[in-house]
Amino acid sequence: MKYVIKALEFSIIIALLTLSVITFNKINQVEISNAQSYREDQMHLAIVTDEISSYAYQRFLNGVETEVKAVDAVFEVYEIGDLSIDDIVQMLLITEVDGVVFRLSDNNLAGKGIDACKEQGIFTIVVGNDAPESARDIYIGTNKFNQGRQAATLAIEAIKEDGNIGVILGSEYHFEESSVSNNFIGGIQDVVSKASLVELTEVAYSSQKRAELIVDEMLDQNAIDLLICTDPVDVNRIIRVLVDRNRVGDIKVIASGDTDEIIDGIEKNVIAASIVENYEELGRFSVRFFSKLMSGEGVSAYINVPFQILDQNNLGIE
Amino acid sequence: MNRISTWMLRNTLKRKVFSFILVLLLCFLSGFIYTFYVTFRVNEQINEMFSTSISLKAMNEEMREFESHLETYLASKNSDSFVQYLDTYNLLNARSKAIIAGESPYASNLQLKNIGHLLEAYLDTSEKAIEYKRGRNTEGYLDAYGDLLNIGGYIEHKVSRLEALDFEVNLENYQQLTAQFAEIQTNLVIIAILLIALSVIFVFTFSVGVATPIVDLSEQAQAIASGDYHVKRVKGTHFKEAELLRDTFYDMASHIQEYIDELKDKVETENKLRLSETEKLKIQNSLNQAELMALQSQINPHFLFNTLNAGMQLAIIEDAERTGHFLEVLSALFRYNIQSLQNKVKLSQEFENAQKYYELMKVRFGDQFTFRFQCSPEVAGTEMPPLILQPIIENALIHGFRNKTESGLIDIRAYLSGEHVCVEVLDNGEGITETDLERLNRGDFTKVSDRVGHTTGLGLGNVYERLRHFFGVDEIMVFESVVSSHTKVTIRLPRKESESC
Repeated sequence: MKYVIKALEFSIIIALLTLSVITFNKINQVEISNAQSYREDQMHLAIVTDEISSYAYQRFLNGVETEVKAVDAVFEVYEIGDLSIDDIVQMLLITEVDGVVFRLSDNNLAGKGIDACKEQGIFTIVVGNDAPESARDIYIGTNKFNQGRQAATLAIEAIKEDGNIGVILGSEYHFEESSVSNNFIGGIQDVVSKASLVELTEVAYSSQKRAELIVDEMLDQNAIDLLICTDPVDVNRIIRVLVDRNRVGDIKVIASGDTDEIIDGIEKNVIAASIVENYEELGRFSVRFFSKLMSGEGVSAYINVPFQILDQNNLGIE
Repeated sequence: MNRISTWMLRNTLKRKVFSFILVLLLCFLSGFIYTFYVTFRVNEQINEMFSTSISLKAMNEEMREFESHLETYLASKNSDSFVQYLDTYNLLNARSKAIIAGESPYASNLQLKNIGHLLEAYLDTSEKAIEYKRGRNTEGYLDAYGDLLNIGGYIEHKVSRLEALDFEVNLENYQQLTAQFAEIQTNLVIIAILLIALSVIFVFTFSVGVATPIVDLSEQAQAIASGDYHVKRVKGTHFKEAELLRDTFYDMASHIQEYIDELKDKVETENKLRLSETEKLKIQNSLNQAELMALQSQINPHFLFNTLNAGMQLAIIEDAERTGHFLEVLSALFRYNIQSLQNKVKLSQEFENAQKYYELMKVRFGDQFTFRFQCSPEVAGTEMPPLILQPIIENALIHGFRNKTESGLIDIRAYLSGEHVCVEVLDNGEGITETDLERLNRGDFTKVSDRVGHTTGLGLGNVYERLRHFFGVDEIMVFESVVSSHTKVTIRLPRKESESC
C-alpha cells in the first residue's frame, strides 16, 4: 500500500511537471499576428483599382500576394470611390511608395495618376486596360481584341454558324468607353461580321444590371441563341436562369474562367467552352516587373498574358 | 548553519508538519502563479491587439486639438493658442517620429508607417501655414490650411482602413487566442485536478504517518490496561517524537512487567514460606497430639517401669518365668512407645517393636492370630519416624478380626522396590468397604482415628501425617482390600539409606 501511494505520488508529480512544461510552452507560443509586417528596406508597391469585388480582382490579388513574398515587397490597395485619383496620388507621394500598379477601366484617370507619379520618380505599371497615352513604364494585360475574336469563333462554332449572339460584360468591362471593352467587342464583331448568318444582337454590362435580369430580358425578347459571358460569377447566375426557364441546351454559353462550376458546366454540356484569362498571372507579373524596374533591369513596355480555352476536348471528355 | 542542517536532517513532528504545509502551500502557490502568468499573458496579448487602436484614437484627439489651436491662431494670432498649438505640435511630432523611426512597437505595420509619413506632412503643412500667416500671405496660409485639412482627411482615411484591417486581424487573433487558451484552460483544469489529488494523497500520507504510531501505542496501552504487559515491540521509522514516545512506552511496559514479575516471585516465595510454616505447625501439632496421647496413657512411666520391674522380680522369685518374660517384653514395648515421636528410628527397630507387640498379643489371644515378619536386609536400615508399624498392625487386629472367628494371619513385609522401600501389612480379615477404602486412600482417616480400643492411641491419621511430613511426599500410604478376603496397607518410603536388618 505504502509503495502504491508512493508510486501514485510520483506519477502525479511527473504528470504535473510534464503538463506544466507543455502548457508553459503553449502559453509562450501564443502570439498575435500583425496585419502586415513591414521593413524600411522592403519595396513599397501600391495598387490603385476601381473595383475590388470581381472574380478577376480576387485572382489578380492572389497573384500579387504570391509574388510579393517572392520578391520581398509589401503592397497596399487604394480604391477609387471613397477617394479621388488626386487624393490617392497625393497620398502615394506623401507615403513615399516605390511603385504603383494602376488597374482602372478609365484610361484618362489612370493617365493623370501615372503622370503625377512619374513626376515624383515613382514607377508605374498599368494592368488590364492600357493607357498608351500616359508615361507608364509597363503595360501588362491580355490582348482583348484577340480574346474577343476567340470568343466569337467559339460562339459561331457552338451555334453552328447560325444564330444571334449576346454578350454580358463583367465588372472588368464596366466602363463602356474603355479600350478593354472596345477591343473585346471589336474582336467579336470582327469575326461575327464574316459569318453571314450570325449576328451580335445584344451587349450588356453586369456592372449596371444584374446578369440574371439581363438574361431574362434577352430570353423574353428571343433575341439570342448564345451568350458570351466574361465574368465567372455572372456565368453561374446565367446558368441558374437557364435551368429555371428550362432553356439549357437551347441557349449556348461561352464562359470565362475555370471555376469548379464552369468546369462542371462544360462536362455536363451546359457550357460550350470557356476562355480562361490568367488574372493571377497578371498579378504576379505586376509585382515581378515592378521588382525588375526597381532593380534597374531593362523591361519590355508591353507584356502580354495569354488566355486559354477550356472545352470538352481539352478536359478529356469525348 | 549547523543548527539548520541538524534540524533539516532530524525527522521531527515539527519538521514533518512544516514540510507538509510547505509542500501544500508550494503546490497551490505554483498553481496560483501559473494561473497568474496565463492571465498576464492573455492580458498582454489583448493589450497588444488593441494598442494600435488606442494609439490611433489618442492621435486623432491630438489632431483635433491641434487643428483647433492652429485655426484659432490663424484667425486671431493669439499667443496662447500658439503655445497650445506648439504643445500639440510637439506631441504629434514625437508620435510621427516614433512611428517613422520604428520606435513604436507596432510601427512595423505598413499602414501605420504611412500614417507616420502623412502626419509628418500634416505638421510640415501646418508650419507652412504659420509662416504664411506671419508673412501676412492670406492666400498662402488658407491654401496651406486647406492642404492640412486634406492631409488630415487622408490620415483619417488611413486610420479607418487600418482599423478595419485591424478588426479583421484582431478577429482572427481573437479566434486563434480563444482556441489556444481553451486548450491551455483544459490543461490548467487537469493541473488543478492533479494538484488536488496530490494534496489529498499528501494529507492522507501525512495523517497516516502521524496517526499510525499513536494508534499502535494506544492499542498496546489498551492491552496493558486489560492486564497484558507482554507488549510486542513494533519496529518502524516514524518521526522522532513518535519513536521517543514508543520507546519510552515500551520501556515503561517492560519495567511494569519486571515489577509485576518481581511481585509475583515475592508473593510465591511468601506463599511457600507460609505453607512451610503451616506444614511445620501441622507436624508440630501432630507430634504434640501424639505425645499428649502417649502422656495420657503413661501418666507416670517411672512408676510404671518400677512397678513392672517389681512384678518381673516377683515372677523370678516365684519361678514364673513366662510371666517374667511377659513383663520384660511389655516393659520394652512401653519404653519404645514413650519415646519422643520426633526421634528417628530404623525400619529394623520398627520390626523389633512389632515382634514385641506380637509376643504380648500372643499371650492375650493365644493362637488366634499369627504374625509373619519378613524384612529384606537391604532395607532394614531405612530411617523413619517411630511407632509407624505398630499402629497399622493394631488397626488390622482391631478392625480386620473384630467379627471374625477364624484364626487370623498378619503378614508384615519390607522390601526394596525401585527407588522405594515398601512396607506391607497384609491381613486376611474382614476387609474394608469400597467407600471406606476410597476415603482412606484420599487421606481421610477421621473415622478410623476416632475409634478407640486396645491400642497405643495413635491413629492412622497421625501415622499418615508424620510419614508425609518426614519424607515430604503425599502419596505415601496405600490401602488395598477385598471385603471378606484381605486388607493390605502398603507404605512406600523414599529410599534414603540401605542397611542390613
